[in-house]
Amino acid sequence: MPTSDGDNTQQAIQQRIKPTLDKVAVEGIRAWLKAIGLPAPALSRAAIDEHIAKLIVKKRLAEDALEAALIGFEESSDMRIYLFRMDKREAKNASKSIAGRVAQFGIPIVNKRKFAGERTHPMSPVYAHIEGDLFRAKWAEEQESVKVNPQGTGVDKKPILKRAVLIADYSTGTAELRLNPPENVHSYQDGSGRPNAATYYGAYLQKAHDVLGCEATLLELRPVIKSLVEEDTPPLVRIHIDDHTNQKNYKTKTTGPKADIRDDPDWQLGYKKNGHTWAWDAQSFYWLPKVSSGFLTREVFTHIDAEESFVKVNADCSNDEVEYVVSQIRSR
Amino acid sequence: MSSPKFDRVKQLHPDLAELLDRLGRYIRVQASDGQQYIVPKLAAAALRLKDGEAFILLEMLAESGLLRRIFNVYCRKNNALLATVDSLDALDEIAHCDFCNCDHDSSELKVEVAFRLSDDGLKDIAA
Repeated sequence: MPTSDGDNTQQAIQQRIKPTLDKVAVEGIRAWLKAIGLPAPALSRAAIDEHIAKLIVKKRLAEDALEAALIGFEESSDMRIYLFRMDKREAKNASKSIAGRVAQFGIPIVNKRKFAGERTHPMSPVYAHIEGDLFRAKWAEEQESVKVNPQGTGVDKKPILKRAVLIADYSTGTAELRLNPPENVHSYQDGSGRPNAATYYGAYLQKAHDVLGCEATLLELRPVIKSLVEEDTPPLVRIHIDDHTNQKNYKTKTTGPKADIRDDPDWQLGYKKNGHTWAWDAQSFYWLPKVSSGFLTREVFTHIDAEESFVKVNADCSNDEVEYVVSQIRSR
Repeated sequence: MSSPKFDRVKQLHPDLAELLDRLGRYIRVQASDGQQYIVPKLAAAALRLKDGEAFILLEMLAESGLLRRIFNVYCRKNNALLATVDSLDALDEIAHCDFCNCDHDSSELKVEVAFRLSDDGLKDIAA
C-alpha cells in the first residue's frame, strides 16, 4: 500500500488505499470490519473503498491497522495449508540458528510484515520476521494463467502473483506452510519439462523444511475429520461434501444441499453401522460462527484433504479467520 | 494369523506383539471376506491406529515375506482404480482410462501403497 504522503483528506486516503483494497473481496473486508467491531454495511466495491476512507478520516480505523489486515488477507486468501509438528527439543535448537538460515537463503529480516509487491522470479523472498520463538517468512512469484479464448482463435494470458508463507512457533513445535495453488504456466516442471503442480508444492515444502531447520512431520488429518463428524451437539461445522472409504475399499462421496450431510438418513444409516471403521479421505465444510466464541462473523469454508495432508481455504479469508481454522484443526 | 514367520516378527518386536496380533486378525478377516489388498489407511481406521503406524506394521510383515507391497493406481479425477502394479516403474504402462476416455500422464494419477498376501501368507491364512 502506498505510504501516507501527509494528505489526509478522504479523497487522498481513498486513492491511496484503493489499489490494495481492490485485491480483497468485499465480503472478506466486511467480515473483517465486523470482527473488529466496525460497521460493515452491504456495499458495492466502490462504496466500500469510500466507507473505509471515511472510517480513517473519522479516526475509527488507523491506516496502519488497515495495512496489517490487508497483508493478512494477502497471506491467508486462497491458500493450500500444510500443518507440521516439530519435536519441541529439536525445534528449540533450530530456533537458535534461524537468523543464520534466513540469511543463507537471502531472505531480508524486517521489523514489520510487508506486502509481496511485484515479484517476477520463482520463489522470490519477501521478508522474514522473527520475534522470540515466533517466525514468519514470505515468498512470492509471478505465474501465468493461459487459457484458450472463448472464440478458440487464440490464448488469453494473464500474469498472477502467487504467495507462500511459512509460519512457525518454535516454542510449541508447530509450523504451517500456506501457499496459493499454481497457475498452468510456471517454472516447476516434471521430468518431461511440463509445469507440474506437485513439483511446485514439493519445491516449497522442501524450502520450508530447509528454513525450519529441524524435522517437521505433517499433521495427520483423518482423526480431525473423524472428530468434526462426531462433534454434533452443537455442530462446529456444516459438512457439505464427505469422501470416505469403507473396509471393502469402496469409496463414497456424499454431496449435500444447503444442509449438513449428517442430516441425510441414508448417510446416517451407513455411519451408524460402519462409520467407526471408515477411513476419512476428505471433507468440505463451513465453520459456523455461532459456536466460534465470537472468532468468526461469517461462515468460513474449509476443505480438508486427508489423503494428501493439506487444508484449503478460499479467497478473501482474513489472517484471523485462517488462524481460527488452524487452531481448531490442531486442537483435535 | 499364526505361522513361524509371523511368530518371528513378534519375537523380533516383542513390544509390538499385541498390535501385530490385532493386525493379524484383521488381515485374516479381510482375506476371508475376499479382499485382495490390505490398505494401510483402512487397517488404521479399523484398528484405531495412525496411518503411519499401520503402514510400518504392514511393512514389517512384508519384510518377513508374509505380505508383498503393491501399488494401486487411481485416476485422480474419478478416483477409479486403473491398475495394480508391483513397481512404480510400471506407472508409464498404465492402460487407457475408460472413465475419462484418455491416456493419463503420471500427474493425473494417484498412487496408493497397499499389501497383498504372498503365497506363503496365503498358506498361513488357509491353515
